[in-house]
Amino acid sequence: MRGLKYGYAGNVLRVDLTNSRIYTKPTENYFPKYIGGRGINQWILFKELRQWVTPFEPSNIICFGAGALVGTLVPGAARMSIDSKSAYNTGIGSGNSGGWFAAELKFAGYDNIVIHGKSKQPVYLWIENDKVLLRSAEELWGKTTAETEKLIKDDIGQDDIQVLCIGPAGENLVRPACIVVSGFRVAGRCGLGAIMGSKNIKAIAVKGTGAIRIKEPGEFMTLVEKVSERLRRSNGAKARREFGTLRSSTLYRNLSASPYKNYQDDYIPSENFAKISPEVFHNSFEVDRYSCITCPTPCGHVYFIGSGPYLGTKCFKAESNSIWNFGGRLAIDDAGAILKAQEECCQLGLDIDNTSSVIAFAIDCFQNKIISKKHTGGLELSWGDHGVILALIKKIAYREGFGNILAEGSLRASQKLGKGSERYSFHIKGQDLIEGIRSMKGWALGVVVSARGGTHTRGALATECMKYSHEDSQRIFGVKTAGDAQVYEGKPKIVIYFEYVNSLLDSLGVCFFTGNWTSPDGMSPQELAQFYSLTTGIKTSEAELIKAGERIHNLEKMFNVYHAGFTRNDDYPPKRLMEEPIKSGPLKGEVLRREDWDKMLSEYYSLHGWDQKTSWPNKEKLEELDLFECIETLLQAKQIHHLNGK
Amino acid sequence: MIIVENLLACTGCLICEMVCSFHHICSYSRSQSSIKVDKSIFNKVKESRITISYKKEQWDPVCDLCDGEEFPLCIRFCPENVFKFERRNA
Repeated sequence: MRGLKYGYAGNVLRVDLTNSRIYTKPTENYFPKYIGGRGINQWILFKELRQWVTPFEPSNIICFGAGALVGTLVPGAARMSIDSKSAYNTGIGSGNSGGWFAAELKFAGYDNIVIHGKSKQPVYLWIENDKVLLRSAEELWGKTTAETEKLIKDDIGQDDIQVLCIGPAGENLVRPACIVVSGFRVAGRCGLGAIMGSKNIKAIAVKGTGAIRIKEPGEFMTLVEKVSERLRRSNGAKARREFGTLRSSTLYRNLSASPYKNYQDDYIPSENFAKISPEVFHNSFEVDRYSCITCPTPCGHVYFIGSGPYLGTKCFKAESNSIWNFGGRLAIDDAGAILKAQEECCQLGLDIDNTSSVIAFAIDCFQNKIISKKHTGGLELSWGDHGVILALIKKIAYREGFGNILAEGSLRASQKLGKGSERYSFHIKGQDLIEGIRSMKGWALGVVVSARGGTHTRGALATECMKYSHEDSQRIFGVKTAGDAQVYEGKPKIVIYFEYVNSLLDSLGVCFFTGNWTSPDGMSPQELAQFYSLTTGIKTSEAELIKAGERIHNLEKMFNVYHAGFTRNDDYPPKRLMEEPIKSGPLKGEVLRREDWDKMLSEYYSLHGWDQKTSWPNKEKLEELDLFECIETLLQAKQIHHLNGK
Repeated sequence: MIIVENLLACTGCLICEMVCSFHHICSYSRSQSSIKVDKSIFNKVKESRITISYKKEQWDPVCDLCDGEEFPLCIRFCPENVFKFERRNA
């Protein structure tokens, strides 16, 4: 069965849980058109998922895709894209994780795993090269993610294997549930953990002893050495080595882009930030560092709490988001408590972004007397009270009492609670928003228009926070404003650039931090094209690769068109962020002005070749991208008349 | 021989395993490496350990100090300078 393609492992593993049927298909059915990873996942989802399937039904499909360059020495090629129908809306659900799992999967002989159906009993999938089995997970059900990983290693009798799994939150179909990969890397958003839970699949474990071949090994190694050296010396790499991604929390906070107390402000007060800055984590808690497979620029840090109420907590990852979410959104001013909350979420299988957002919603409702102790089961909810926040995290994971309402995300919770509580729910397309978006306009555009519903990992501009120079901006994007946060002009063009490039990175399996998302020194699309050509032997130019990125981005958009019918109205920020200015900090007074947003959005659609009213790709664009099947599908669904905005 | 000079600096990126297999089979494969990295975070409790195979009794393929290469690849590619070359018999 082993494929002989260069770069690719050669096989897509298909698992039907309903009938316990396991088989493979050749990966070459899908590349180079869809590259790999996210691209292949998205194509399979668009082609095979029908409109009427809801997220937790057995007919939903969940795809795991190791990128095309994973398993090689390309710097940062460690990523796996996980895609399904979102648990938050009927649109696309997509998550991405680093770690070591994706490479192991390719060494085992598989590029992607496609899982559909539902098992009668809890199971986990064990892959050891050609041997693929569904094993009982009865003993694992209810266990935390660390316990699950350990029990699987014991069950298999091998330590050196890779495991991804869900925690109790996923089992309980909690919408903020995530998938924990390699112990502590996480595919967080869109409730993918709950999708696994709905299928009764607790985990996937893999051991691979095969190899990934390179078509032009000599030239490939020369390029790897050159690029790695440059990446290692870059300022971004130096900062991540010291602080991980935490370091950017200072930059975002200083640009008033850290939501504070559920968007009452976007600026964390100095006296609070002094207690939760990256330096505090680094100096007080850090005990070790690590990087994902093949990454020469480590961003992983291990923290240990040696005193205080959370003594003994070991936390294997804290991100910039950890400070935004727990330090800003929930106003916890205790770094140890932030680490504890982070670790608790990881063990229970909860995404920190979606979980903290819904807790912030609850506290805001409580403070504004929309809910009382009667609703919360006696808990008094107040900003920064980490004891109560930790209790809520647990209640959400197990759907206990009030946690059962919060387990639905803030939009659904507000619909259930009523009484004007929707004012305190900040969401994009139904999924909770986590980013501070009032001060940085390109960042905001990328976050809000993203297909998966509010995320900075599609087209959002990290260039604003990283302050790209006018020269770098002009050279890379053809406009000068990439580093000018408060400027609206030029942003649609740069957002689109990153939508294409980031689609590519997710499909190649390369980390954004070794790409050029946060640093002009990162790998350029031209270098990615060189790597792809040398690895696979498929000669691909930079323009062809960018075109593939555009195709994958449009495919993701088409999933939303077909399954969720999102239109222009769904591409606006929450109303309050267009009305209430930032209250403090250097960018006090900044707000997203509706007329400027409208203008930016219109330019964005027009550059994309999308309809102004519906926001949908027009027929010519789909033909240009060789996405004829999308037109066919919409024809059958009688949605074709919308394609031209009629 | 190759010695592990700075174990604490190891980040678990496994680049050494990957380049080692590249030397042996001109492809990337963790199982075809003479080096095995067990970073403590992988199993969360154990001490980190890097082992190099010098005898077939340990495992195959054994380290041949990158015979035919300009310089041992693990030393050349390790981003953290964990390895060092020392002139002595294995």
